Amino acid sequence: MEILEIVIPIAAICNFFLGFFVFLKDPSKRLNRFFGISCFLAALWIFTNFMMGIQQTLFWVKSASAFGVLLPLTALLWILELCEKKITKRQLEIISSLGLFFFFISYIDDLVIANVRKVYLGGFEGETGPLFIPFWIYILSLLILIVYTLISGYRKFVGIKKLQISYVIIGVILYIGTVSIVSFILPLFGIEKFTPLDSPSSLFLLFFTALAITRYHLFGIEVILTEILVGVIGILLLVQIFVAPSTLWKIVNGGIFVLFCIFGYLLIRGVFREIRRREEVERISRAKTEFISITSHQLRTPLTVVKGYLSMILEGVYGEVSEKLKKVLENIYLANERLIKLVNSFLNVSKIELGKLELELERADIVEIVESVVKEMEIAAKEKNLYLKFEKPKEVPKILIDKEKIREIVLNLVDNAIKYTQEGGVEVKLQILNNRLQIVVADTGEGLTKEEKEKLFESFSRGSAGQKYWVEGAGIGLYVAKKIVELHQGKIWVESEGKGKGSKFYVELPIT
Amino acid sequence: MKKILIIEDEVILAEMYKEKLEKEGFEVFATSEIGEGIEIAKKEKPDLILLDILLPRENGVSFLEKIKKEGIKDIPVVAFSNYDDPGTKKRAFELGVKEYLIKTNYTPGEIVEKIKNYLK
Repeated sequence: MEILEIVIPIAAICNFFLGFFVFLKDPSKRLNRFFGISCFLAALWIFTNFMMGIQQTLFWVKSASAFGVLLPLTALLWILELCEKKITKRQLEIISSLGLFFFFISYIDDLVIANVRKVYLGGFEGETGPLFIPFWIYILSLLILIVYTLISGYRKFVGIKKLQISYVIIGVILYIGTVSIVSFILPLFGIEKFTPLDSPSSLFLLFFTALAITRYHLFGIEVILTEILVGVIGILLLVQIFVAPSTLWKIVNGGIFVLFCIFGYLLIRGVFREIRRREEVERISRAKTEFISITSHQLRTPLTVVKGYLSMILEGVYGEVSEKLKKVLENIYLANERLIKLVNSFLNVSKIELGKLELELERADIVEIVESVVKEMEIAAKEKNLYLKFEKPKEVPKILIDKEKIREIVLNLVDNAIKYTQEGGVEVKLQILNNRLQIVVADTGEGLTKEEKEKLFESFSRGSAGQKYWVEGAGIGLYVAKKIVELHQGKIWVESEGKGKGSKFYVELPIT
Repeated sequence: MKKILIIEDEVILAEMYKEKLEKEGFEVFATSEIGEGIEIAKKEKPDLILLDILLPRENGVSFLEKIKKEGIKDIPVVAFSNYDDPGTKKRAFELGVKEYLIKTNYTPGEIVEKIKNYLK
């Protein structure tokens, strides 16, 4: 049990400092406050478990269950905050007061824990009270809520936030997994020597949250984490000097300690610099994205005025318009429409990059959507003497999608296909494969090289055909399409056998 | 004659929509102020309100909250804005708007067609 006796206090200290520094970093942020409190309670919980091993009294058993209930409660609070999931004040009050209720009754005799025969590190033998089962139901519900919040957060977000959440999810799974194995599953087979590992396994959650921090800037405190790590190792090395068996070993350990201090200092300084540099880059990138977002909103108003008045002139609101003038006005109208489309795309990109793109899901008839697109594009195809065909299976189930966004994607694909095709035509096909629905847009046009295929869905790049024939889209349509399809848990890709051999675009969506 | 209240702070846009709606045979009231909007809504009892969301002092969402408090429930509201923040949109729907149209994606004619659905 010796190793455990070291691991447990270290886990407690790490939890405490991590919480402390995250809290200090920005106490005005609720996320930091809740996370800080959560870490602090985790440290206390681990401490009470540790004390169970040392003092072996009922008081520490009660304390362990009391703090054990507050930990998932506060964890839920910061995870809700991280996933930007709002709950009403009333829901918060109910959840919190239940937590406090179980906290206090843990200390009342016979309610949760009736009596103990034997107490050991991280566990006890004895009888439970009548509220023991409600106590665990409450904890389990909190854990289910945590997992649910994280999964829905994972689905909702894209980009950095998604990665942060995925790290926290891994941490939670390992944490809950370890606790269930050492505290529930192994004891079923009579193996109880690992139960003390349940509280320090919160280190998993800590570690993966720390990864989310260091790699994806969750709380912006990676330098503090490095400091904690360097500090803890430093203390251990310092202790080694004093406990060394001989003077020679004391000198060797002292040398290692000094070297470690120097490298530790360099490491912290390096991390600090790196963060500064990255923060600057992020700040610029964010400012750029916000600039695009604000200017795009500003651009929309004059575009609306131009669109509105032109449409009214063309409708004849201000008197009859001659055929010659009508043609000119229609051209201005179309050019304005192109600008509007471009601004919409820019706004979508900035939303994606700010993690604000959300879907408005509803059960919709995909056939209807594709048919309306084909109908809309028929004129454009006819003008270029191209065929435009639509093929569909007999029965297509309604699927859960953001109707407008999916329509925009299909429209974009068909529009592109017509633009890049000079001879032959475009075929749109719906097909169902293994519970997934595919929309295929195949053309007999330009085709794509291998490099173009790879770059096609990246931000701000276009295939070489795009540069030649099509300059209005700025290559962002497919990037936006990819992000939207991914938000639908789907896939988008292109197949082409090479230049001059046409391309086939696939959008695959789950049938749910 | 059906009455429409437009709450819109962009002068040119307000004028443009007013003109189109009047041509379509509606009686139109326009304002850029939420307070005034509520007054008109109470006094004139319009058949529909066209509401911009980004307004100078208070935004359209607070207008929706206020009319709810004032007990003006039966007048259909169509929000139209170039601001398409998902959170705002969601809130507007929660407060009962019939539609949330992005202005730049619709011509005044198309907006008239949309609102006619709520005037039957």
